[in-house]
Amino acid sequence: MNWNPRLWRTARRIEAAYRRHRGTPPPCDAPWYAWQRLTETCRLATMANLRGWRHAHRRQHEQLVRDLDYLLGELRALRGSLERRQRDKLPLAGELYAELVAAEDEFGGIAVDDFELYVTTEPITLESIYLGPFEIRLNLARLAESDPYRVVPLEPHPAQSSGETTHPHVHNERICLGEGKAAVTAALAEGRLADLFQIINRVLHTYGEGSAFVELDRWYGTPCRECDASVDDDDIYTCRSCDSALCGECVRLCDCGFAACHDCATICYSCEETVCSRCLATCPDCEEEFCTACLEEGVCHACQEMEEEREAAEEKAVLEAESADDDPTTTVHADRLGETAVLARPRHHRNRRLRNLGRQRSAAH
Amino acid sequence: MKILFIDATGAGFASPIDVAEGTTVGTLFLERVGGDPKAFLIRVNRQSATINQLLHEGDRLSITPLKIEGAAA
Repeated sequence: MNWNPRLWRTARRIEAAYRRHRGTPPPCDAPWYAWQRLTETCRLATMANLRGWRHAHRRQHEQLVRDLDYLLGELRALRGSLERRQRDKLPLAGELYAELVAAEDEFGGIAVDDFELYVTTEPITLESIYLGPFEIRLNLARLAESDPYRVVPLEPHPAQSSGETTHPHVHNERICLGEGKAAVTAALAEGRLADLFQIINRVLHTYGEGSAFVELDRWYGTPCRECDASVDDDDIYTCRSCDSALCGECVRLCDCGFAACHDCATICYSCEETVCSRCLATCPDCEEEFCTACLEEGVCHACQEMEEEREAAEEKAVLEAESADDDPTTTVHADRLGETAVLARPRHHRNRRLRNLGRQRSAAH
Repeated sequence: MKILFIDATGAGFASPIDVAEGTTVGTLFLERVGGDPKAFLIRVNRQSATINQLLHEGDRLSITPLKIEGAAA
């Protein structure tokens, strides 16, 4: 191994940076966010199970496993951090020099500018999506912090929906290390810089489906479930029933703002507009489904009209019967013996006028 | 003999461990990590290593998975 004075100077500088931060251990942050994520997934899995959504339940179960792994990784990192405080050891310039040499071998170069030490990855392609090379930059002035590194795209190919997301696990130059967090924290604490860069590099070469800032199948926008057109996330609609993504052309909107896909949308039998389940009611007569605007007193217009026609016919029959009662030549029939016209389907509000007529007639007699 | 073992699949801290003389990288890998060695970057003294490589007193063995899933939190 040839002596490299430039790397030696850099190693001395990093050693000084570690020394400056000695005695200022990183804050002890309990991984509440990982715990909250786990409990939220638990809640969704339970809900999916209760509602019999088998596909959603299976997905949430898989997510639950990932969230558990993530939480375990965070807990390990926390435990490791606490252990490190007890056996904190300042990395020496010689060790740091060896790390820099190793990193230079692995990445084909390592450089330092005003305050950052950085390496460049090879161009990265995930699931056939070219993301380009990245610089992994370690801020030497922030070594005491929990994540003093950033990931800078050299040929940015961000997600269509988020210009700040240049990699599924990088947003605004911040990488979320997931399973690699514990190992990176340990490597940083022990001055194993080659390991630190390599672990971040491996995270950049891995796609964690289901736990990305933007999933790769939505990198160029979200496909509409109905027409398969790519849609920006700002313009996308989500079916409130099945959560499928829809474009503005395929979504069906209820007046109340409820969005639904073709399969989940309900159509008013009368006006044929899309209606959500909350704005939908069933006519008790014809048992078809209508929007509330097409119902009057809970009955659809068609059934209302039929009712009115029946009532008119019944009224007419009653009046004819009365006329017959008043005519002395006509045979007298006893009242209330079932000899009047009887409704095929008696309904209390429909018969109200009929009953009133009956009462008036009784009073007159 | 003692070697320094760094397992990036776990907490990732470097731990001094005792291994028997004649232990190879592959033996220790199967004992401590398991799985397919091709899915890992295995280095001895910061240099790429083969599974048949013999370990020596004071060696520094590091094992890093090639696939490490990130997150979005």
